[in-house]
Amino acid sequence: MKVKALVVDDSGIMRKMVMKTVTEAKFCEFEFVEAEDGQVALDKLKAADFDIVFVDWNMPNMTGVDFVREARKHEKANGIDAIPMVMVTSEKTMGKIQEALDEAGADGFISKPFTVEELQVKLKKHVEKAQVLRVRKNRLTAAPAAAAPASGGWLGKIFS
Amino acid sequence: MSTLTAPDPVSTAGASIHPAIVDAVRASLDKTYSAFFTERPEPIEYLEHHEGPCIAGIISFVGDRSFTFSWILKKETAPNVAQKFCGFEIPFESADMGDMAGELVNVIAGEIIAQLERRGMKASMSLPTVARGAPLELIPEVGPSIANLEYTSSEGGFWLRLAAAKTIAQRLPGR
Repeated sequence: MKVKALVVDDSGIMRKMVMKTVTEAKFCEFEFVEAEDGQVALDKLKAADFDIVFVDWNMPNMTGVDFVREARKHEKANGIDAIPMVMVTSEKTMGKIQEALDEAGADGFISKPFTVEELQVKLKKHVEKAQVLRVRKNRLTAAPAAAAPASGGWLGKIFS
Repeated sequence: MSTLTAPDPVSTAGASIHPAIVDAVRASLDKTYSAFFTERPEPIEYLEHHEGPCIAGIISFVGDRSFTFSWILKKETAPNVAQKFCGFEIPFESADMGDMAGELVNVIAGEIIAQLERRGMKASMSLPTVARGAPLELIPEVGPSIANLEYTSSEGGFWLRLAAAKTIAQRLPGR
């Protein structure tokens, strides 16, 4: 089972670092999609089905905080499950970070620079939630197929 | 080529940078650098002349004291720093190296804000920019206050440059 992750950062090297380190943390298998700013990320989020988002805080055009706020609005308006959103930041002032997380609706944060070991601890619950969401989505996708009649049975003949 | 004179590791021109800022920057470098390079860089006397290509990550701080901060890496140092910071090889001339320099200065800038706050100073930071040059001379030698903090490390040599901005009142037209 692959967890689909959206990685949002205006720095290409930072996106690579996040993907590399998250993969090395060996939670599960990931399928990464990259976005270079908040608006692009929002469009991708609306168009596809993601399980977790890693989003940079300090970006031009749309900051990470603004992105999370907009993404939560979209989830709420469309009755979509809230996916874990983790901010990636070089901010070190805890009060400021917490205020932004609460105000925007992000689930957690990781501070740059980060190590594999730190991510293993800090991301554990968020990745677990993403996995649960993926399982639920896979079940929902599989359910209509399971409910459809087998092609060899009498119901199958009727349907065919 | 820099033409600043350097009587000690902190070289200044004109009015000096507030000592708390220099202190906060040094502490931030120690903390950030040792987090991913395992050992602290060693401060050395600032060299007046730097030969060869360099790359710099630059970020501005606005607050109680406004200033610009640059982390300037020599060509031979930058790939070693990139390898340890990112975990993979990045050629000096590549666009990725620019991204790395910007990210490096962004990471230390977050720590500088926290360190300034501990010293009773508030500041917020801009997005990073990157400059390349051979040799790199970003800041005019006269005008703003400048401090140069040169270091040597197992990854090679680099230096930090602080340039204090004038206050808003000083910037008003006609003054």
